[in-house]
Amino acid sequence: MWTYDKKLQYPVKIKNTNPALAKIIITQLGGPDGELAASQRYLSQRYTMPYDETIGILTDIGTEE
Amino acid sequence: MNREKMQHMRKVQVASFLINEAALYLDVHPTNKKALDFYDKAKKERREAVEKYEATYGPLTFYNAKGPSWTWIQGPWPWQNEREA
Repeated sequence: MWTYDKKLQYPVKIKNTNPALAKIIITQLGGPDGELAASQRYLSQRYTMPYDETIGILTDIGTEE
Repeated sequence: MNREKMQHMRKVQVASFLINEAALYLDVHPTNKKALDFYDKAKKERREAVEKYEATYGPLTFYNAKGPSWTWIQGPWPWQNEREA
């Protein structure tokens, strides 16, 4: 199961605010073709993987995304 | 999963669940002394249970994996029964 780490994976420093760009980025995260949707697909598809290596990589990619 | 392994795993599961529920309560009652004590007790139980489990059966998270070879991906995975693994 999952746990949350209260940290960013990579430090973010925003020099100039840009609402139009922010809208694109938030869609890349939570939108229909975003990271969150992809993560759920990885984690669901791992159940039909035949080897420990492929189960492991899908688990860990899904976790990262 | 043999009986002994299952008993160790159950201790981890119980302590983790207690922490989870305590966290939900504390999220909205952050100064409740009784809840904080409950959390501390569960945290100690979980730490001990995880240490015991991992020492014998391998890492529960990839933060606790170690060499000489990468055992993190070794089955059985949590959803697999004996036959599948």
